[in-house]
Amino acid sequence: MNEAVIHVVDDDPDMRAAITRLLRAEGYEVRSYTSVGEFLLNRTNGPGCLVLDLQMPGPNGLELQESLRSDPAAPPIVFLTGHGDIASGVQAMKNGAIDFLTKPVDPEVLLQAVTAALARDREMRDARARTAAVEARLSRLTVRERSVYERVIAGRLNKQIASELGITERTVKMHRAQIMAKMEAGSLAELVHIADLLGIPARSPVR
Amino acid sequence: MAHRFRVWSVLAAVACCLLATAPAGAQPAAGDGSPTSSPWNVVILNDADPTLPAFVAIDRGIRAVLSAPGRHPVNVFPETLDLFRFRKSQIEAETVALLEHKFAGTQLHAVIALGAGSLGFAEAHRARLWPDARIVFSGVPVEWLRGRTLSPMTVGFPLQHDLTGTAELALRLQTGLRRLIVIAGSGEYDRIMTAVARSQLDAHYKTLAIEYWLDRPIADFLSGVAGLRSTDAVLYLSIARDSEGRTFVPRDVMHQLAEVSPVPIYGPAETYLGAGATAGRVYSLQERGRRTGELVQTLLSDPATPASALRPLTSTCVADARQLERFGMAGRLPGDCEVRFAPPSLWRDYPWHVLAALAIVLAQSALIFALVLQRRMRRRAEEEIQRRRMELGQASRLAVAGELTATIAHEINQPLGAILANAGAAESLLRRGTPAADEMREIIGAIKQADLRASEIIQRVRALVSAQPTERRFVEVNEVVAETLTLIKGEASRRRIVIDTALGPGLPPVMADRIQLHQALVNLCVNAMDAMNDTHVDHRRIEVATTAVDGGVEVTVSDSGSGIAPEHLRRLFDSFFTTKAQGTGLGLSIVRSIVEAHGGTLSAENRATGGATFRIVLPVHVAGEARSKDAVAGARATSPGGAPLPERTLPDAS
Repeated sequence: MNEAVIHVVDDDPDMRAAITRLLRAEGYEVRSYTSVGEFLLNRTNGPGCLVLDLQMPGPNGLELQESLRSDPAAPPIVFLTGHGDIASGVQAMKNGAIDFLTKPVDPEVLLQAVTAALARDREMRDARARTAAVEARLSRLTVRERSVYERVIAGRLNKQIASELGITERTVKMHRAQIMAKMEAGSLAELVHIADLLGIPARSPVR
Repeated sequence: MAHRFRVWSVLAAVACCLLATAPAGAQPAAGDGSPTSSPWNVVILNDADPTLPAFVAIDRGIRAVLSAPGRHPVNVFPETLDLFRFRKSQIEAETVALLEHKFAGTQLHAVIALGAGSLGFAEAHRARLWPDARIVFSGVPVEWLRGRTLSPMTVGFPLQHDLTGTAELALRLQTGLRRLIVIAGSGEYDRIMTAVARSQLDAHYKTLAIEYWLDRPIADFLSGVAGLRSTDAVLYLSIARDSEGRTFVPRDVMHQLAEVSPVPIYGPAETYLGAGATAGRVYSLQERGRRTGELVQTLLSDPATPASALRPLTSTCVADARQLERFGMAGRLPGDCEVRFAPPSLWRDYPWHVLAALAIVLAQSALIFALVLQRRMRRRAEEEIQRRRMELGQASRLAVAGELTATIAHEINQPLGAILANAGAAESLLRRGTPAADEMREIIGAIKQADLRASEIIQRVRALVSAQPTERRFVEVNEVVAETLTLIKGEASRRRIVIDTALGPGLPPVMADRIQLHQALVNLCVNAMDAMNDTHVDHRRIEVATTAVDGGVEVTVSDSGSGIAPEHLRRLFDSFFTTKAQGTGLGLSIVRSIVEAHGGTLSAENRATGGATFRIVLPVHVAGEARSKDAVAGARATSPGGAPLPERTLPDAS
C-alpha cells in the first residue's frame, strides 16, 4: 500500500499509453488519467508523483499545479508537454515543478525526472512524519513544563526561571528532566532544534 | 467655358448698341433751337500749301469742333495764299481782287488766319474783304506779333515753339551732347523760325555750343549732317526753300536729313515726328485746331467775349520709339513723354483683352492640372489598394503558415513522443529479461499507429500548402524576387546579412502562383539566413540570382554559411528533417511542394567558396493544372533527377 504511484495525466491516448507502458516496464506502479478532473476525483494521499501534460481540455497542467500549491501533501510534478513555450516553463519551475520536459522525450530523461520526483516525495513525507512525531511529543508536556521549556531554550539559568515562575530552583530542575524525557532529547541543543523545527519562539528575558 | 461665352456675348451686345447709335450722330442737327438758324460763314485762310501735313492736322481739329453735332451750322471756305512758293508781292493784288469777287454776296462771320502771312493779309485787307468778320489767328509766331497792333476784332493763339524745351530734351537724352546744330532754310517761314530760335536759345546755353547752318544748298545740308560726330545733335527748324531757290515740303527734308544723319535730329513740330525726328517738345496741331475752332464758336455765339480769356497752350514731349531704339536712348526718356510709332504691341493696345485671355488660359490650365493630379492620385490610391490587398493575402498566408507550424509542431510531437516512449518501454522490458511476446506486439503496434498518425499530419500540411487558392498567372520572376527581398530585408539587416542580387535581364514570364513563389523564396532565404548564424558578422552574405535557362527560369539562393554536410544532402528536403535545434524541418519541404506543384525542380549543392546554393528551375509553362491536385495527395515526391523517391514503408512487426 505504501508503494509509490506515478500518476500520468495526458489527454492524448497514444501518449498516455506509451508513457504508462514505459514506466511500468521500469517497474513502477502507474495510474493514468485523461484529464485534471479525473485525477482530482481519484486522488489519494499516498506517495508518488505526477507526470503532467500542459494542454488538456479543461484545466491545464499549470492550473492544477497552482491549485496544489497550498497542499503540503501534493505530489511533486514533472511536466511533459508537446508545446513547450518559455513562459510556461518558467512559471512551472517557479511554482516548484521538479522538471519541465518536452515531447518527444528521451525515455532516460523521463525516468531520471521521475526518480527525482519520487525521491522528493519521500523526503517531504519523511519530513512531515518527523514533524508530526515531534509535535506529538510536545503535546505531552504540561502547561508548566511548557513554560519552563520556552525559557530553557532561551538560555535562561535555572535560578532565573525559578524566580520568574515563582517556583524553586529544585522544581525547575525537576521539570527540565521531565521535559528531556518527554521530548526524547539528549541535550539542550536538541531542545532548541526541536523548537526551531516546530516554530516555537524563544521567550526572551524580561528587561 | 460658360464664363467666356458670357464675356463675348456682352461685348457683342455693347458693340451692336454702339453701331446702332453711331449713324444717328452723322446727320447734322438741323435746328438746335437757336433763333438764327442760318449758318455762319467761316473762311479758313492759310498762307502755304493747304495739304501740308501741319495744316491738314489743324484743319481737322478746327472742323471737328465747328461741325460737331448739336453746334450751330457752319459753312467753311478754305482759301490759300500759297506764299511759300510765290512772293507776296507777285500775287497779292490779284488775290485780293479774286477774294473780293468770290465773297461779294456772302456775309463772312469769321476768318481763321493760319500763319503769320495769312494774318498779315487778313488784317491789311480787312476793310475791303471782311469788315465785319472776327479774325481768329493761329500759328502766328509771338515774335511776329511783337510790335504790331491788331484790330480789336482780332484774337488768336500765338504760335509757340518750345525750342528751349526741345534743346533740354536733347541734352537729357544725349548725355554726351556738346554741340547743337540748328538747321533752317532761306524761305520766309524759315527765317521767322530762325529768329524764334535765336531769341529762345542764344541767351540760354553757356555749356552747349550752338551752331546755325542757314542759307545753304540742300546738298550741303545733307553732306554736313552726314559728317557729324556722336557728340553732336541736330535741331531742325524748317527748310521750305534752300539758298538756290528750290522749294520743299519741310517735312520731306526732315526725311532726307534723318536718312543720312548719324546723330539724333530733334524737331519742334509734331509733323516732324514720324518723318525721322527723334523727339521734341511740340504743340499738338490738332489740339491747336480744336482750340481755334472753339474760339470761333465762342466769339460768334457771344460777341462780347473778352479776348483776354485766352490761355496759352502747353507743349508736350513726343518721341519716336523707332529713333529712340536706334540711338539706344529709350531708357533716358522723361516719364511724361508720349512715345509714338511704337511697334504695334498686343499688350500695349489691348491690355484688358490680353489679361482676360491670360486669366482664362490660367484658369483652364489650373483646371487641367487639378484633374490630372486627381487622376494620378486616384491611380496611386488604386495601386495602393492592390498592393495592400496583396500584402494582406501574403500576410494571412504567412500567418496561417505560422500558426500551422505551431499546431503542426504540437500535433506531431504527440505521436513522436508516443513512439519514443514505447521504444523506451521495449528497451526497459528487454533489459529486465525476456518480455512476453504479447507485450512486445502491443508496443510495436502502438509505434506503428503513432507513426501513421504522424504521416497523416504531414499529408495534411502538404494539402494545406498546395490547396491554398492558387492563382496561376504569368509572373516576372525578377519582380517576385524583388518583393521577397523587401519582405526579408528587415530581418536580414537585423542579422547583419548583406543581400546581393544578380537578376538576369530579359527573363521570360513564368506561369506561377505569385504567393506560393514568395513563400518558397522566403523559406529559402530564411534557411540561408539561419545557415549563417554561426558565421562572422562581416562575412554574412546571401546572393539571389536569376537567369534564363532552356525552357524556363532558374533562381538560386546562395549563402556564405558553413555549407551542407554531405550526409544531410540526401534528406535535405524531407519533411521534418532539420539540423536546427529549434527547427521544424518543414521549410524546405514546403519549398519542394511548391516547386513540384509548378512543375519545376529543386536542388542544393555546396559552393566551392563556402556555403550552399539552392537552385530552383521553373518552367515557363506547367503541364496542366492537375499538377496541384497531385500534390494534395502528397503521395509522390520527385528528386531533382526526376526519379521518384521510395515510398514510405514501415517494416512489418513480424
